[in-house]
Amino acid sequence: MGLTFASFAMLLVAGAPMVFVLGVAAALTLVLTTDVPLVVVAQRLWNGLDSFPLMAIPFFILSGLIMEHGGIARAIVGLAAALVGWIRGSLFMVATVTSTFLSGISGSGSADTAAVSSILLPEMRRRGYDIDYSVAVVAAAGALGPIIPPSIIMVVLAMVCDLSVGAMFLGGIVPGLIASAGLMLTHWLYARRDPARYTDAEPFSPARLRQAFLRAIPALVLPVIIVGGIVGGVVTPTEAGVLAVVAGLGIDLLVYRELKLAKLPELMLRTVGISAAVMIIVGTSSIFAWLVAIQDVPGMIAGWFDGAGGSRVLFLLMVNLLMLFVGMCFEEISALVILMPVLMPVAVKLGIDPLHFGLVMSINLSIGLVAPPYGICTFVACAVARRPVGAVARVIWIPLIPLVLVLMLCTYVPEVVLWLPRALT
Amino acid sequence: QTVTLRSAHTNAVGEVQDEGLRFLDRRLRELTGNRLGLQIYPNGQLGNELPMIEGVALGTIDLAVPSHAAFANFVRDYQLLDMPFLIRDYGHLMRVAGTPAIAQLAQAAQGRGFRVLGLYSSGVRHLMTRDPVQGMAELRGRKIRTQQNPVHVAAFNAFGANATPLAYGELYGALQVGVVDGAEAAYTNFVAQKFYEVCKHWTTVGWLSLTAPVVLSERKFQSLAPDLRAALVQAGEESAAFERQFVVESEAKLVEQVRAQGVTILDPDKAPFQRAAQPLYDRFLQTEADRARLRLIQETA
Amino acid sequence: MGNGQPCRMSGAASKGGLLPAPAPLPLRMAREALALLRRLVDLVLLLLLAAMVLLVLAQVIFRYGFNHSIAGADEAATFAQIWMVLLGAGYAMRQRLHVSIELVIERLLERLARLLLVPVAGLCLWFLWVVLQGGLLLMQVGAWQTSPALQLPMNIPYAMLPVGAAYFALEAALAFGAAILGREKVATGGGVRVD
Ligand code: NA
Ligand code: NA
Repeated sequence: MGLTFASFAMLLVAGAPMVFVLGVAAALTLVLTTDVPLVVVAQRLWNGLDSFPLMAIPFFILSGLIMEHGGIARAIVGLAAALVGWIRGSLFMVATVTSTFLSGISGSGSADTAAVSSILLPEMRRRGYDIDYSVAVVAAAGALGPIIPPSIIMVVLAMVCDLSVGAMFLGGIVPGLIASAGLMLTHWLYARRDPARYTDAEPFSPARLRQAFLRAIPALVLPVIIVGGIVGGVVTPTEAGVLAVVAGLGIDLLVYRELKLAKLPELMLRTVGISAAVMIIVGTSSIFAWLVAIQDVPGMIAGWFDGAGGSRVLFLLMVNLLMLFVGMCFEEISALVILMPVLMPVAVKLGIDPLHFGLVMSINLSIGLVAPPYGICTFVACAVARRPVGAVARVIWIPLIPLVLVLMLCTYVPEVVLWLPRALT
Repeated sequence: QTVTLRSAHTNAVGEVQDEGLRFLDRRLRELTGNRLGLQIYPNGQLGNELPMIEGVALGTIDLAVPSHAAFANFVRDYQLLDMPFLIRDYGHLMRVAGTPAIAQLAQAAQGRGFRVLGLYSSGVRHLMTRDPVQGMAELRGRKIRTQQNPVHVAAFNAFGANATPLAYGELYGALQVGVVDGAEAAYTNFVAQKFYEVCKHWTTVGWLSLTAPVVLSERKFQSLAPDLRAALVQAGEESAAFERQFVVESEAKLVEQVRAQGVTILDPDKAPFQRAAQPLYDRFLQTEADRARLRLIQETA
Repeated sequence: MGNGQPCRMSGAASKGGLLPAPAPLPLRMAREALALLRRLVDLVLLLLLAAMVLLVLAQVIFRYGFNHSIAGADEAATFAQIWMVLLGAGYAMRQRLHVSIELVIERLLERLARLLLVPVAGLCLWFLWVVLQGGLLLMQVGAWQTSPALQLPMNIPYAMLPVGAAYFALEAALAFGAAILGREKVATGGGVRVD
């Protein structure tokens, strides 16, 4: 066991791809502590990938890339500006509302952040906004990406924990909208403290809203197809993914005409690379899950927790703290595929609804995308604005407050996440 | 010095196969003075049906209880048990289990490195639907989820439905929102997965008696001392008899639970279903050995 | 899905690396063979993703347009997905798209970091060797196992396990080799990410 841990730590420190960090640790554990033939590594890798629902991942990555490289994101920014541009700190509001809409199209927080960053951060700088707080605003809005459906984190979580992808997606809608409102309120309070700087709000204009809305209608078809298709029971999440790709491509080629068809192979290859990098981790993690099951790790933890007089409330609190810490220092997909096979059975043994627990975890992980030092959305926004992560880290705790409050709300009032999936019964 | 067999199944704890394997474990320990037992991994923890069987073939799992439908992907002869309405009811299954036909199937499995210790029951399969289905005519055009299996798909298409294979994990959500109109299932699935929340209608077609061979790696079997092997063979048969009886007894309770949930239970005329299924026998059973075994089972009273 | 960490260029870094430009004939031929192999891999990957999109799309159209499910379409799409990931893992290595956490190694002394990569590379290649061996064994079992829907002998889909592991190992060896020899900065992942 010591050798396994040593190799795990060495690979992690050396910056080896996570697929190797996980794979080597699992294979070494098998060799050193069990009599199971090593062929189980290849077999579990295959089985981990042998899943139709998992196919939503490449589809939603491709639809996100089409959205990012075409005219869809720009049309939605226009609509958001007409909708909320009259509020103080107007571009903070525009960024948050745009991210909320884009979350309904792409499955990834960093895709939303990339699209919004490249359009809005230069404009924020030009208007004299505090640039570090602007970066924090765009990054924090990225956390909405995996909370509001579709969501790659939710697909992986549903896979690992044997939950329904559709039910997870439904459960994310309400907390996502609450988080979006909470972020806007926070930014408004922030901008109000410095009224001399944030003076660019323009009066609300119904004519402008109508015009922006007309231009955005084709783009808005996408979230309607995706979220509506899943909620209305027309399609499964994987099928919604493929419709998003086809519709997104069609809308961009026919209406906005910003995407060149010749660019499609490049975007597709990029989709393959990014999907393979995420999904090979999911496959490798199923070796891990097998080991965890064989050695009954969840039973040990649940037993220990019972012995310590543990309650559900305490367990959830401890898991939230653990995940916030993990989210700060770690990559989310790897963290979730290592931890969920252990934590989910414990939660079930303690009588927590698996869907509730899964949704709480996905919100937790979404916050981890933002939280420095290792938060991908913050990296992306920092890279676009050419600001050091350290400088942004000094202010990013402000928009993290409403996100953590939403997490607490969903943790201790399960109805917030469970209401919608249940109401549609 | 106890030898423990790494044993996997896909039922929840306390469901029929779990109870069967616990019985097998108890009996083995009694017969061998605690020298042989099972370590049971429920819930598909060690993999779903196909990987589980593969695991037995590769030696990563010692013992597994897959459905005969999945096992037929490895030992084609087991497709015989997929024929709709072949096994008429639980009583018939108990009598069929002891016939040479089933022994021949086990023989065929042994040629592929699987020792079959007994034949469990996974219950008789019926139909759960969002809207009532009184008879076969009302099935026309409806999307019915089946397992990913050529015979099952062909059967439901023959019944006039639109057979729709779908991952089991997606089924609840798909039924909830209407991606599919219904699914074929046993009472135990209907209750354990709470499908009655999304399907308020239950039609007792009884189109298939799903069974589950208890499969041990032949290599593992041969590595054991002769008295342990004898104990395995004996305890395997005993546990299968126990499990099949347990299915019958627990089903009575399940029917009560289904009624208590306000589900309407419809009893359709089975004759049209049986007629529609007949062509499948010729289509899927093509070797002489298949047909001989078919006759053996049909002639079992 | 923008670059993960600031100032890290993905993709471009991988060219050249171990095989510098003015080189003797065998090395030049090796480089050309590598370029050819990579073009082939790109093409196969494109076809696999296109197949997934078209198969699922056809399934949706047939199910809702004609109330009919295409037998085996989902299974074929799933096999394409597994192939895409197994072969794409090597492509992701070439493009430095793999998720890795490089906060520590970036702060190490460079000589020390390069030395550390030697045993690390060994362990990674050992893991791929395990996958390759296991894949060959699965192909043996798969020879008399059929897939549930298409009734395809499973050794055909399983063939991508050894093939994908071998290509992944090639790209990993090139990436680690370039870093260990100091031809590239010490990093094997890239930090481009989706979650
Ligand atoms: Na989203
Ligand atoms: Na993180």
